[in-house]
Amino acid sequence: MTWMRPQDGRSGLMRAEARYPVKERRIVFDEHNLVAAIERVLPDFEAIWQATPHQAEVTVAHGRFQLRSQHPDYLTQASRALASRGAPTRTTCRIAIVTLANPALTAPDWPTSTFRERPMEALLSETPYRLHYFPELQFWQIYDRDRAIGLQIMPTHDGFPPWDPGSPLRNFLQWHLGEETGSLLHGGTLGLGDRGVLLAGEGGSGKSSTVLAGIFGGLSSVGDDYVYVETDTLIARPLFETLKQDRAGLERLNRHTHPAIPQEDNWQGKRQFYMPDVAAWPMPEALPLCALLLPQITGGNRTALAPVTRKEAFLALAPSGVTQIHCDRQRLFRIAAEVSRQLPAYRLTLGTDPQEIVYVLRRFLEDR
Amino acid sequence: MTGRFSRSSPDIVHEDFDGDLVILNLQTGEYFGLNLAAATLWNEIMAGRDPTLAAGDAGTRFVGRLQELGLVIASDDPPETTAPLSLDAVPVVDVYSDLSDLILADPIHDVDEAAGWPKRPDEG
Repeated sequence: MTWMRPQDGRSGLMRAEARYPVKERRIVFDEHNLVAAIERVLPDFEAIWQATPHQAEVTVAHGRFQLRSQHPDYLTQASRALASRGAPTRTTCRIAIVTLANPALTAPDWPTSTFRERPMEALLSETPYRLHYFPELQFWQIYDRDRAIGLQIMPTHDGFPPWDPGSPLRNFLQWHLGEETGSLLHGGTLGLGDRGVLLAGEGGSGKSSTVLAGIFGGLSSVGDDYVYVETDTLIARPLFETLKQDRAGLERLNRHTHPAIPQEDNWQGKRQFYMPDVAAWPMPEALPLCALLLPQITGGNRTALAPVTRKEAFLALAPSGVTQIHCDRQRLFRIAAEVSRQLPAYRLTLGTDPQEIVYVLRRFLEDR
Repeated sequence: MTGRFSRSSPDIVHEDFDGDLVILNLQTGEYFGLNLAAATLWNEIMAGRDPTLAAGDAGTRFVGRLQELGLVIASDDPPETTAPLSLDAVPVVDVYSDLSDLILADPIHDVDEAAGWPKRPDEG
C-alpha cells in the first residue's frame, strides 16, 4: 500500500466542524476510518501547542524532545525520569500532553468493542502515523513521523498508565528515534570503562537486581530497563534514569535506608528512584556493548557464565520489548535479531551474593 | 496439497540464527521456532518453490502444519522449479506459547527476602 498525504490537512468536514460547540468536536475511530481520523485530530496540534503553557526540553539518545503540558507536574515527572544527556543531532520532536477536555482538541474516541490493537497497527505500518490507545484508561499517543509531532491525550492530567512515571513517553521515543540501525530494546546494561553488557530476560530473571548491584558495586550503566541500541556501532544509549527494586532487594544491597530511595512502593510493589541520585559518579552517555547476558536465578550459590545460542539470546531479548513498545514491533524484532547475531551471548547464572555477582561481571568485562 | 505457498500476511516476519529460524506473527504476538530442516523448507516456500515436490511427505506435513498455524496460505501463482532436498532431520515447528504477547514483562518482586538474593518469589 502506498500512502500519500492529502494536500489539505483539514477536510471540509473539519472546517465545518470548527463552527460547532466544543463538545461536538469528537471523532470516533474505527479500522475503516483510521488514517482519516488521525488526520482530523493532528491538525489541532499547532493550536494546542501554542496554547499549552508549561514546557520542558530534553535530549535523549541525541534526539531533542520539546514537551508541553497543561499541567507542570507531568513535565516535572517526565524530566526527572528521562535521561537527558549530550547535544542533539537529530530533528526536534514536539510532544503536547493534553487532556480530553482541551478545548482546542478534536477529542478521539474508540469504542472498546471495535478496538483491535494489532490490526490497527498493521493498518498504520505503511503510513507516517503511529498510534497507541489504551482503552481502559482512554489514554492516547498519536504521532506523525513526517512532522515529528505527537499528542499524548489523557482523560485527566494524571490519567496516565501506572508504568508511565518510570518510562514516560516511551512509545514516542521509539517512534522518533527508531531507524534502520537503531531501536529501543528492553534490557539492562552494565559497563566497565568502554566495555558493556546488555542484560536481557523477562521480569523476575534478576536483570534489574543485577544492574543495581553493579551500580552500587562500582560498574557503570546506561539503563536498567530500556536502552537505545545502534546495530552499526553496537552502542547502547540511555533513555531513562529510573531504577526500581523492592524493599527486600534493597535490604540485600544494604541500601534500603538510602536517602534518595523512597519508602513507598510503586504500582509494582517496588521502590522507584533515579540513577544520578544513587550512583557514585556520573553515568556515561554511551556504552559500547561486547556481550549479551541472560540472567537466570537458580538458587545456586555461585555466579557463572555459559555460552548460549544466538537463537536463545534472541528469544530472551525480543519478546518483552516487542510486546511493550507499540506500533513499531517489526523494527524491534529486527533490531533485536541483529543485536543477537552480532554479540556473543551467555547465560548468567546468578549466585546469591551481590558482591560475588559483581566480581564475576567485573572479571568478565576486564577479559573482553 | 501441492503448489506455491506464501506468507499469510506481511505481518509474518522471521529472522535467521545460524540456520534456525524464529517466526513472529505480529498480528497475534505468537512466536515459532523452526529447526534447521524446517528452516530449509520455509526458505523453499519463501523462494516460491513447492516444498511438497522438494521434500515429499515431509514437505506436505510441514506445509499442513504451517497452514494450521496460520503462517502460510496457498497461492494461485505457479511454483518455481525445484530440486529434491535431502533433509537430515524431521522438520519441527515449536510454538513458544510462553512468549505470546506478554502482558507485563516486569512483574512484582525479583527478590525473596528469606530465601536469598536474588530469588524468584514463587520458588519454594
